[in-house]
Amino acid sequence: MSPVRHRSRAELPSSPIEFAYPIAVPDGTVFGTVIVQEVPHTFALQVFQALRMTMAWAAGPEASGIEFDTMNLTEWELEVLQTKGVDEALWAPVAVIAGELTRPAMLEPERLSHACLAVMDWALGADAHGTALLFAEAAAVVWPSNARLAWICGKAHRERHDFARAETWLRRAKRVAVWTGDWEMQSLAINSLGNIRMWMGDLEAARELLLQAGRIAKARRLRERHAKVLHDLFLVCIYSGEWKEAERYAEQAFAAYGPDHPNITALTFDLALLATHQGQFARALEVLNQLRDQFTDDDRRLRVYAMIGRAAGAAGDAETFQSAWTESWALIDGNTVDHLRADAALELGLGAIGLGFRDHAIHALVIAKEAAEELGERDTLQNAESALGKLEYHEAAAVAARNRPAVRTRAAELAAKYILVVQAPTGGNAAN
Amino acid sequence: MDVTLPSKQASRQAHPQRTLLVLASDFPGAPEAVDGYAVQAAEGWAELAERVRTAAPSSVAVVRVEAGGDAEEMRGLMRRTPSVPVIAAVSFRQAGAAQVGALLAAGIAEIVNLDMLPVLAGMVPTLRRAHARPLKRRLEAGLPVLVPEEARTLLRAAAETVVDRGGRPRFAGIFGVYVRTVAIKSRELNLPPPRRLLAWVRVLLALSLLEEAERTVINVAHVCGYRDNSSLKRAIENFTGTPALTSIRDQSFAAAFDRFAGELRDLRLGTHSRGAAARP
Repeated sequence: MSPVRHRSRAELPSSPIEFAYPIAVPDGTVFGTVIVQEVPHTFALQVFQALRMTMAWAAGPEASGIEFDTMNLTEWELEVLQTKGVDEALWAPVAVIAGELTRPAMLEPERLSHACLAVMDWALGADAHGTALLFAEAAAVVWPSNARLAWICGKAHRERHDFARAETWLRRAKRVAVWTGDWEMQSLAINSLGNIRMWMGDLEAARELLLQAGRIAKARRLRERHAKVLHDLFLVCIYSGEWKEAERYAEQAFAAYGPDHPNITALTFDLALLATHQGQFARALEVLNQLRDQFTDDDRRLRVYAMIGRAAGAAGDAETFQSAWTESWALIDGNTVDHLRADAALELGLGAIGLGFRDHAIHALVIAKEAAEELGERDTLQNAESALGKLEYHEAAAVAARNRPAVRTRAAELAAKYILVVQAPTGGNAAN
Repeated sequence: MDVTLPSKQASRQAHPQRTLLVLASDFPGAPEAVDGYAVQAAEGWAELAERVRTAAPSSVAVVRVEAGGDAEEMRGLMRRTPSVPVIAAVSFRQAGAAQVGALLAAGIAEIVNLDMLPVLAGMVPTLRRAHARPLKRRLEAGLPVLVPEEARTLLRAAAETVVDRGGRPRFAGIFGVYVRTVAIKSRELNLPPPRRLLAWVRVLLALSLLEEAERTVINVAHVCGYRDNSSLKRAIENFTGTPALTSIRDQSFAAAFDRFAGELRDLRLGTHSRGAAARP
């Protein structure tokens, strides 16, 4: 870590408007409501209480000192410790939080923050995503000088597609990282902000942010960080249709990663994405088939299978399409990759259109449309609707053509006339 | 470890006009005031409802809820006067998660665990968190998605300020910064300048209060900080752009909010002339 650049002794930069959420200016919801819905009822109120007390402590003694002075904290700690039949991965960190808050004068923010992260970890495993977000925020506010915790909050919100709040936390992470002289975190936070812009379709802003993140990484010789930024710039260029620039960034990212880096597989996958965008489906399919068994996590496996489906459809390879279709739906129906169900279904639908599998296409595109509406993915929604519209149009045109009486159009008559003229022994002169 | 500024804390603790409404039987021997809140203890539900009916939106009602009860009176209070935040004081130990969940779903502004906080003095931070919550909820519900999170924070702070009948210094004081700083930030975030933003939120607050059938127009004018009926009428007409032909109650919150959202959209897209926007 580099030396701190500021001269102030304050722990944090003075940016009270950016740091106002969630403590100084609370929003319209009762803090922690979602916990009562997500956590098993036997322990929900203890978790609810733990979160609210943590936030109250983070608000500082001037704002909530009176609450701590009048509260029966020892009884609460005892209640938490005596609760039985609760998953230990949840019970233990809540017990730590209760222990810390019962003795607020001796409280160690780092320990409290780690306990909050442990609750977040449990919540993620239990599909309690709202609870996970709240405890991520709690961890960040009790240890506000730790930029990485703010970044984790930003990432957690981004995973839930709450881009507005994710940006707030990522900007906070950047501000704190600048203040504490944590260059790697600074570059990482700006990189994540750029990625959010990219997903929102603001490619110009994304490129600016990524270039800034890249400059920091390069200047501080953060090689791996720089490679990741180049990789993301490669993606921005794919989406903006700058193929040459994209290939240049891909080469640079490959060189910066080095051949043994684990991200090389992801880079290869993105090269297939580039080929798909360029309309070179056979080349994309060749690369994707090599990647079939490279990934073990459901997220990336689904991405690969869905794109194989798209490329195989466009390349006319029905057999490969069918196997990718089966594998993809098995993963989508498994509900572990809920966030990808719109994107993946769209890819499969487009692949099915390529092969003329009308029923497959409608099935996938309708699911993609509904999922995109639910997830708020405007681009995917637009693409799914457009593909469905085209399908309907072609179908209507085909029906109309079938039902049309066999009347010879003027064009057909002319064509027939010209054929006769051409076939006549006098050739072109007859037309004159 | 606090991320907030001392000046902000100071500004938050000075709220002399706020009133805490309780039932005398819920909090026997309640003090006359707790940390800036004037406590008014009503003898029964009828008296409490009457007080809440005319209460300023900066007031807050704390109601004790018995374990297993359906809190029907409290729900009625929230239905009739949704502008005044209602806090449920309940024993978590006796009530259990299901009842607490039902109370939260019913739309209470905050909840207090009586097992841990049995006295009113300890509830003050909770009262502050509930401040202006009904107005914040109405604003947040209709905001266009293009409004960024920091702009939302400023809007929430504007709601807190307006409910307290405060002006620009109080608005800036929430963040512990100068008025000019908030004006610059508003401009960066494509919000109207603080004076106009506060005026807009005041009009929206007035319109939301006018929806409460039992409030008189003069009561709404006074609790929102307007001199009289005509000042209120003029302000509403200016901002909504439509004259009230028969009664001021003809104006709807939804229509005014659409206009407000439209202004935010125009500022975002750069199609709205800011006029005096540069001046805080």
